[in-house]
Amino acid sequence: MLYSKNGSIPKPETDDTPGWVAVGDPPTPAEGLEVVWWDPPGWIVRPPQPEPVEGFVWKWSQTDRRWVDCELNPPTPEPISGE
Amino acid sequence: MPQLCTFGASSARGFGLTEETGLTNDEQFNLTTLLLPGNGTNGAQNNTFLDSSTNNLTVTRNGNTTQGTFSPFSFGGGTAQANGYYSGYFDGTGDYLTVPSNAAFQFGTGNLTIETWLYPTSLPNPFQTIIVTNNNDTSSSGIGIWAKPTREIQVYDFNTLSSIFDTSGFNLPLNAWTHIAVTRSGSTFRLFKNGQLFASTTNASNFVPTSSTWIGGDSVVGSGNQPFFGYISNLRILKGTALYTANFTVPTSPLTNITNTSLLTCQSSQFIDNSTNAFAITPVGNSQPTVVNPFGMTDWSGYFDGTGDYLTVANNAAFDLGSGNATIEAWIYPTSSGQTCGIFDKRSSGANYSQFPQIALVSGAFVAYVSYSGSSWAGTINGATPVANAWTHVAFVRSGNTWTLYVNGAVSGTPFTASGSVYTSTDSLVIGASTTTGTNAFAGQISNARVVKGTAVYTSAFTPPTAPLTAISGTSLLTCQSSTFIDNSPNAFTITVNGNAYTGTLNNPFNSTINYTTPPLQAWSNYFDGTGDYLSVASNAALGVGSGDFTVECWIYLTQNFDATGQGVVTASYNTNFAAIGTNSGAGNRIDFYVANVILTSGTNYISLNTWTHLAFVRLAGTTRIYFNGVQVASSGSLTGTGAAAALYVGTLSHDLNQEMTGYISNVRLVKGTAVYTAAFTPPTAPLTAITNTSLLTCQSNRFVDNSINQFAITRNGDTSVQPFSPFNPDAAYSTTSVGGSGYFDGSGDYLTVADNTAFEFGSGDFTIEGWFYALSVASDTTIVSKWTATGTANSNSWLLFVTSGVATFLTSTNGSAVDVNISGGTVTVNSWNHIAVSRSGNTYSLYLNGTRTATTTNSNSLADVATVVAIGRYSGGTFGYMNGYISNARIVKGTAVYTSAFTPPTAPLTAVTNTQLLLNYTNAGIPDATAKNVLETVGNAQISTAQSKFGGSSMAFDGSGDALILPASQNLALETGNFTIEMWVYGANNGGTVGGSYPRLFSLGTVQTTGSIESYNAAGTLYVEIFGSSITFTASTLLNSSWNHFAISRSGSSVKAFVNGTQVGSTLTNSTNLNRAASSTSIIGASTASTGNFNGYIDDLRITKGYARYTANFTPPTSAFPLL
Repeated sequence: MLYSKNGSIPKPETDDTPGWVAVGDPPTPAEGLEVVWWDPPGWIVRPPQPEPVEGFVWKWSQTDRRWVDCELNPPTPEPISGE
Repeated sequence: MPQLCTFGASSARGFGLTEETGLTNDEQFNLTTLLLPGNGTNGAQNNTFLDSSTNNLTVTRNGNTTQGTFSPFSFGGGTAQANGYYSGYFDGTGDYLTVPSNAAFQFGTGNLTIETWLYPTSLPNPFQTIIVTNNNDTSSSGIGIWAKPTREIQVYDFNTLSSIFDTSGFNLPLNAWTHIAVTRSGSTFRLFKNGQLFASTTNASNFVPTSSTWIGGDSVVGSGNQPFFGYISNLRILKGTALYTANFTVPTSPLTNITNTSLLTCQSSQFIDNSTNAFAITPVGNSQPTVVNPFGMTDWSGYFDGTGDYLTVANNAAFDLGSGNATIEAWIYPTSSGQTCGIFDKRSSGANYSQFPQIALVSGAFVAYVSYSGSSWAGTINGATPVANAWTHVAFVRSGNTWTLYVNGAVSGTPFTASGSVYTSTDSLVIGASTTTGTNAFAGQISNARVVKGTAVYTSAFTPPTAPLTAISGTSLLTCQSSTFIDNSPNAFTITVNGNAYTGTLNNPFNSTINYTTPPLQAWSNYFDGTGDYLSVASNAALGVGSGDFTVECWIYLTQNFDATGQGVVTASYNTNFAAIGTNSGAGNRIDFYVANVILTSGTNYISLNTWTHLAFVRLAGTTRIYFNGVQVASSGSLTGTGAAAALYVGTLSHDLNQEMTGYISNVRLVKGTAVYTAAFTPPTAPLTAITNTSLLTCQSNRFVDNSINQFAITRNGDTSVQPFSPFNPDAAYSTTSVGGSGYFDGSGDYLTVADNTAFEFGSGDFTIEGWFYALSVASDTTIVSKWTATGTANSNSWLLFVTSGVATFLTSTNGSAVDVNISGGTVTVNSWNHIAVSRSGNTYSLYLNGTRTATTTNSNSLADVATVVAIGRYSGGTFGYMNGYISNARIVKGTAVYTSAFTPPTAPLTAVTNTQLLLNYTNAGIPDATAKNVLETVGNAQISTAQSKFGGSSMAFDGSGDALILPASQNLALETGNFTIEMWVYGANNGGTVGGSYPRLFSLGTVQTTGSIESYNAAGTLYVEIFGSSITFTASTLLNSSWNHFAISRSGSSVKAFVNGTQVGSTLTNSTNLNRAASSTSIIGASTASTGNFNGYIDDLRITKGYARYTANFTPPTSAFPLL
């Protein structure tokens, strides 16, 4: 049995403080999918993040159940002398 | 050779103990810009958002939305102002309130009471309206009460068209609170001032007004004429009850809705009637509820008329001073010279010796006596003669066996030494006379009388306190400082008032006659980046310092040197008014202060970079002085010119707006007419308040406002920002109830949703939607709360609260597609907290920005019932309207118009009031920042773990794969050019992670490997501490060895050192790079990017201190968790 408190990542043991709720074991994802803890609703199965697109970042919309590409607005980089 | 002196490191607070840990408080907590204690629930992250309403609705996170402790109340909000502790502010130009006509105001021939507190700021017109119950309609038989320029209170009978009271001598004070009460009992009318009967007369008129009641203005000709200038607090009307028929004790807490209350207003954050009648009150003009109130003040004085007025306190062991140290003190204001009278005494007969150290006036001069035996004096001191009709501080102190009399802080007379215990017996303590029967009664005022047992508060000459006394440890008695005679010491002894002694604020030894009972802690600052940033205030006579005394002060945290041309700190025309200008002489940063084109320079006294320094510029009796951290650094008698009205600027020169300084400024105050500091002083340890004569008080709030009574508009220029960084330490550690939190939305894909619910279907009923937001930009539509997908899309829209083109806006739809109501008004301010609210009351929609109603309209339509989700931080659908910034305390209330007129924005986190359907307090962060300055994202499985812990039973865990903590760009994390300390406890598992394509990083402030960043990473067994391009290196296994090790990096001057377990590792790096990258890019803990360079292990108690090197040489690592304040 796994337990979560206020959406914390499920663990097999609690710390005996109030608020822990039992959650099910993570489902076994179909091939090509991944399972992650996303509260709410809990364990979700989703496709892996798509390949990066320059100038955008993929973000998971749990409301829409899909990856959405969001425009990335990094600060203007300064020239880097090299790592 | 002139002495070179550099000022800095203003210490804002002493030490104390925390309840939580028993540790000493951190004196540098105000400089701590990140503190992650790593305590909490196993597995906790920052990703689960809770609805704090009773609905407990499910909130779904989308994108990277996260939450943390940065909030509108980040140690800057203070305790919520309780209902009753407010007043209405009327600026004298069109402000007044109206209450509908009602039988509740028709007193007939019966008893009545009208009472309130007044704080007039001026009385320029023949009449200043307090209240008129008949709209000044001479055909309607009501009552009118006005304040007149002669400082009288006129009470008028519109029945007979004659005055009930219009008697000289009332002497209503300006800029001080006065309680007035008018009662009729039978046919006897009485007028009371501060509980004292001032006048009485006979009047049996039949008061039956049939028109509305006006407060703060009347309509004798048009609207709002004869206005009141100042504050009116707790106005109460009783029909059928004469509450006062004899002298009474003025209430010390807000008035309540007692039997027969017809009206109770000007006591809440909104203009509402708290009586059972709950009359609708209509504010006209820009009358504003304020937190200014008459309660809790300790600058009152006791008034004694010299004939039978004195106080007694029953004998108690607290007055048995024994042989220990002791201090007896008070301020006195004798109203005549040559008096022989008692101030402190304890005996029943003049034939006896006092059973307490005795302070008296003999022929006008101070004399202090002590008897040990009860049959002789152990010693006597003949002291100075206080000036009549002026305040004098007197203190009689025992230190060891030496008794010293201090008058105005100077040793007066000759101290004497005598061993033994002070004579004691059972008589009562007497204040204001020599004996318990009132012999030798004092004529004048006594304020802040205090007895401290066990402590010699003063052991050498001192500057008399400039603020009311407090009950320090050992205080046996503290009285003559409140609105009634009470003992504010922990003993709370009963004070017996003899004669007709009374209290008032008309006269007191302090500058504080305006009050915030539970002061909102204004511990914020503004940051000026040196490029176009400054604040401006339009020209006003109140900003001209005139020809008399004045004080200009602020705190400054300079991050770049001034230039040689000069840059503005606080300037308002150097040649016609005043200006404080910073200039770098080549040797340091001096301050030049001008009045009417005459300069006073700090010369070779310089202020340091990267530390808070208090600056004060004071003119007293023609002499102008500059103080750095309370130390006088310059003075001159030449700055005698008159300062005229001028626009005022903070952060740049008034005569050249391109000369902006770089750094922070906090708590700017201009006091016109008062030299707040008359000699060297300890800088204030708490935010400044609007004392008497304050013309401007700004750079201290969570938004750009003037907290003086003038409430001048503050114009933000450039990208000046509000920052939770100040010279002050909080009084209490972070708590979810007092500070709360916010959600962070990065403007790109982040939002929260709540499923459609009838809770959000408002129909045609009342509702309120509100929240705080701190936007980093509003270039495009910026959503607060939405039930709206896209205008024109069928069945998708109901309501939308957002910012468009920088203006607060609210939309509704009746048909689910098109816009119905569209109200907008009020330009929001970026880089600042804004409070936004919309409410529907009946058919009236009102939109508020920071408590000001900015738009209103009427519409009777019912809002569409659509299945659209409620979204926070974005439109409900599509990809529109993302918030780039922080949202705090979003609340939806269905069925109640929480706001129906202008209000004071909340001063504490919102709660689930009646009818609350959704409340997002954002206080469920698993890894919160205890400084309440940052919101961080828990990426991957970065979480709290109880598997390993240095302190507190848990730590922050990183599994080496995709885990990180990401912090949005923040000025707080930019360590800039100053000293700093970065420290943490590290438990590296598997050598801290796999060295792959990117090196595992413990942290990077600013994007890795960019100019202005600092980071630490493991490069194939070598641990790097790198300020981009320059590094300290040492063997990685020294730190990352599967055990807890303390890791610290500090910079002092240009010397950067790394320490493991308190021992320096690697070489000292000389580097003074401006570490400003974190202000413009994200910072990260436990990785290089979210998915690369991932650290494997645990981190506990991570702390960053800005402007202070905690470690400059080897040290003993901390043995307990860091203090939380």
